[in-house]
Amino acid sequence: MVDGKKQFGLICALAIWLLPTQESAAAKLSWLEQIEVETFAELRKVERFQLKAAEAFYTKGEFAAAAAEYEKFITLYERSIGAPYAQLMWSHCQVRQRKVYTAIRDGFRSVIDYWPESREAKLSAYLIGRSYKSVGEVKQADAAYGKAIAAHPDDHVAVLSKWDMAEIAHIRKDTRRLEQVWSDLVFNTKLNKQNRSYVERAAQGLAKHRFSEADFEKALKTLQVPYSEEALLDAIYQNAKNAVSRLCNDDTTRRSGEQLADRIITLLLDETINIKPSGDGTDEIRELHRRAGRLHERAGRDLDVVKTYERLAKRIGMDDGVRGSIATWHCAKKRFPKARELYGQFEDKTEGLIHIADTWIEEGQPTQAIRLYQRLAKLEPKRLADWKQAIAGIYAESGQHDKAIEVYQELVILAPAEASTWYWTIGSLYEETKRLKVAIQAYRQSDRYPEAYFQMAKCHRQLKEYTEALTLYHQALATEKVAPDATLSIGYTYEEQFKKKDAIKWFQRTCKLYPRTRNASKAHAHLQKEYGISVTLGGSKER
Amino acid sequence: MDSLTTTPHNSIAATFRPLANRTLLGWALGMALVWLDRFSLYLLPEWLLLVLLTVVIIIATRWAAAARPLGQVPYRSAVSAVILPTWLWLVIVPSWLGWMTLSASLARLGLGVVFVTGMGWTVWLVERASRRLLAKRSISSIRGVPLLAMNGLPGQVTVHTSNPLDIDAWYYGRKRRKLNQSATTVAAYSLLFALLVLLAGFLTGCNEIYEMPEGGGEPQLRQQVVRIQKVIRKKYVINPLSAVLFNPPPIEEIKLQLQELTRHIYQVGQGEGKNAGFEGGTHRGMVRFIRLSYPGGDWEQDLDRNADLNMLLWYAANTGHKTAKKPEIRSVRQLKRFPAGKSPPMVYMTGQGKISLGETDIGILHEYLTEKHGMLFADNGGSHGWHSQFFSLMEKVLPKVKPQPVPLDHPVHSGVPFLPVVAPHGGSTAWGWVVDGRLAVYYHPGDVGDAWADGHAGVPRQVWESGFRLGGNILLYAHSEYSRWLTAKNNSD
Repeated sequence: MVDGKKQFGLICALAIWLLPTQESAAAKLSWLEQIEVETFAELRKVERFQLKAAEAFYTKGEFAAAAAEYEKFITLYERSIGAPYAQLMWSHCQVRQRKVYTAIRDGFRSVIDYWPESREAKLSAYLIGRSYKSVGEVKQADAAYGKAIAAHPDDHVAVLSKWDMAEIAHIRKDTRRLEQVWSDLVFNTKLNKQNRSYVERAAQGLAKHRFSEADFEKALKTLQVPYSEEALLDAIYQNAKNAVSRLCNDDTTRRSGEQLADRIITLLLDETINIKPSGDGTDEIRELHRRAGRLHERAGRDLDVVKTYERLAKRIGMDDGVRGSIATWHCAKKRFPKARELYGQFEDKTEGLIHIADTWIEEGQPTQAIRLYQRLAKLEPKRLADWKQAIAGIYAESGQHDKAIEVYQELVILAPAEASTWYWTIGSLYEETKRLKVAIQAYRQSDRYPEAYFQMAKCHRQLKEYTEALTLYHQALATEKVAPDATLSIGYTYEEQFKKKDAIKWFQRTCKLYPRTRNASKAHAHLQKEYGISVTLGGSKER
Repeated sequence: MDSLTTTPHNSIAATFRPLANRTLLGWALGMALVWLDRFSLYLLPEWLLLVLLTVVIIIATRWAAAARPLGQVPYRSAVSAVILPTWLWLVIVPSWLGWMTLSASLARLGLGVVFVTGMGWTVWLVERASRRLLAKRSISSIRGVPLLAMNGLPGQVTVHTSNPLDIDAWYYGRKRRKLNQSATTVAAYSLLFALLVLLAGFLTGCNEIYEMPEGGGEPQLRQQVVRIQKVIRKKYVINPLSAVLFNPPPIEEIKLQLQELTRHIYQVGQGEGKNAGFEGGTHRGMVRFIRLSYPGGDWEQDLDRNADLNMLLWYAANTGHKTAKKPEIRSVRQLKRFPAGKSPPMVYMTGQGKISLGETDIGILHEYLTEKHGMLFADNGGSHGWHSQFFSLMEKVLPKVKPQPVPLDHPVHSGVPFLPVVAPHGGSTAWGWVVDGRLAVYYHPGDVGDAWADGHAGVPRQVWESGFRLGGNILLYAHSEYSRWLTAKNNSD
């Protein structure tokens, strides 16, 4: 009893001591990589120190060093209760170094053989299956998961194993097996904090499948396992909506799709009856109606969509939200005048005008949209920069580059904090219209380094001013991040100058200096294709 | 007048009859022998085929020279007979020298020449027959209708015929009959030619087989250990001042005690056989390196720089297996010709352009990888696009298999401490598609074929050496798995 109290005290003290120090490290380790607090509490100080040293390497991603430290632990403290954990972590290190077979053979299996009663043995039983799955050996994985479930049917590893088995069935496109595993997960798993998320996901998968077969009752029964009340209604809507679309899009299943939609819509609207249309209740009613409307949309029932929103308006009163929902639906159906009429009734005039402008753009009439933004500039001069930006954007999109540039130049004065962005956009507009000299000037005023250097160099190359382009690329070489782009671009520049030898030299340099980059790949292929040169001097050792 | 009245058939037979002699028989026999061996039997070495073809060409040339006095038509037909052996000769010579791309290009070019020659003869024969029919009709019409004969209007006689050689056939219409007849001839000839090519391909290649060398061993290449032979010499130390008389034996009589420390402690292969090889192999079997040709991209990359040949030589040197002297090329369609149990355990595929495979090709690949227990070694030869295309191809070929990174301790990476990459065209990870616990597809992202080629693309020694090792491992893995499967299959049978 005294020992028990002492132990408890020690655990508490350790937990308090570990809380600030271990929090960040533990957060980096998954459930499968963590040691039990009780076990850790029982370890000697030297053992803890050794494990922490190994863990530090592990969390830093230095898995070879971490494996060596865990191995050291096993050698030094073979009889320690932390040994199975060290062996398990050694196996994790092997997996992270992509030595999966070594991890299975010498790691996870050893844990099961030497410490069969430990928690780590349970984890290992599952991890063997997961390792096989990670290398594509799904048959072996299935067998290993089967063993893990048989050996530890009530443990969380059984749930994890079943979940992975479902994934395997999904990869194999084995619907029957998938259903079987999902059903097992949903109906035969104890719902606790650890298992809940897996049961929920399995229930969602199974319910989606049932909904797609228009079997509402079975789907509902499935979702009732992990969900209740509001969450249940939400789950029904979320998992049934795609099934409604799919069923209603096919003439042969349209009827059952509509029936399914109706049942869910009834559930949603019935739910609104008991909610008071005030405070948070208004939002709830709005959301439930929105969902009913969306289901009508998915079922392709145009009039019912509008009727649902009108019903909502009757319940909570007409406001911008309801008007917006109806207008959005009209826009989706290309009934722009009706949408504009509704936007025009907005209480928030500015917002309404913005939406109207959007409809004009969507309809392909940018001039009307610009007029509206000009009106907005007069109505709300405080947000002049926003309106100007919108106008410039419309000009640019509709191909009126000069007008767009003019507005962006105004923006440089109106919103100088973002001058760099405006100059960059002006530069790209000039470049698009082949006014390269002015484009270079605009890019120069932008402070986007090194992108601006590359853009300027690109313009210089188009102007056949190769020396200037090369100077800019050489300046960009100083930045490590873009150096491979610079070397490759230098090669292309020399090529454009017909300086074949220099071009080859720079392409080979790209391969040699940055063999792991995509530019090395491009340079290698270019040398072979254009110059017939096979000796590209690249090559790397990938782990 | 008599010559005009003879039927076209008789006339053609008469034209070519002088050509039918022993030389023609020799040409035909020689060609049949070469054709059968080249495309079906694979018994004769290539040099012997070349000798045979040279003889056939000489025979055909002499035949053509002898046909010259017989007239233009027999001479030209004899010259045409020279084209076929010459084409084969031109295809086999570069193949013998290892210039596979040139060989493939000449094969395509030759097919074009044969097509054009055949078309020339067809047009000539149809034209000739057509003229003769027309002439015959005009004579008969003159004879039958005296009044018309007097007025000289023989062409106005109405004819109802379905003979395609006759320009007056009803389906040639009333206008542009000549043009319609020519177009029909060309279309019919093209169709017939295509059918003949297909038939030839089907008939000559349906029984192609692949056999592994028999033997046994461990399915893993081990690091080679070189040990120095130790020689222990007997030393005689004689004290010249010794009171004892000692007669040392003459130096040539001293027996050296040589201790043999070097020996082969392993043999590479699979199974219990005596020599290095495979349990499922045969006495005449050998390891062959087959590259897959496919429509679209440049599948022949590095072929002229002996990439495949170097790999095959490395494999032969490091395993002691009997290997083919040269690498080979097969199209996806040709894979179908190999029966299950006698199909290549591994084919190599590379490129950087497009991969345009149709549904049939995808079906063949699926069958090869799953039912025929084959393995595909894909090597990205130069673009990220090829990476995406290969992955989407695999989605169609193996839709129920998800690609996974191949671990570094997989047998195919045995003795390869890192993944050798010449250029990272498709990232830096090797991907695998596992079918029934066996690696059925291995995808290398970084042009390992370049490391095998002459010059090794200038990459560091360690990289290209690992490239060879990787290639050797994959060849050995594929053959070992195939051998295991064959043995299991034989046992169950």
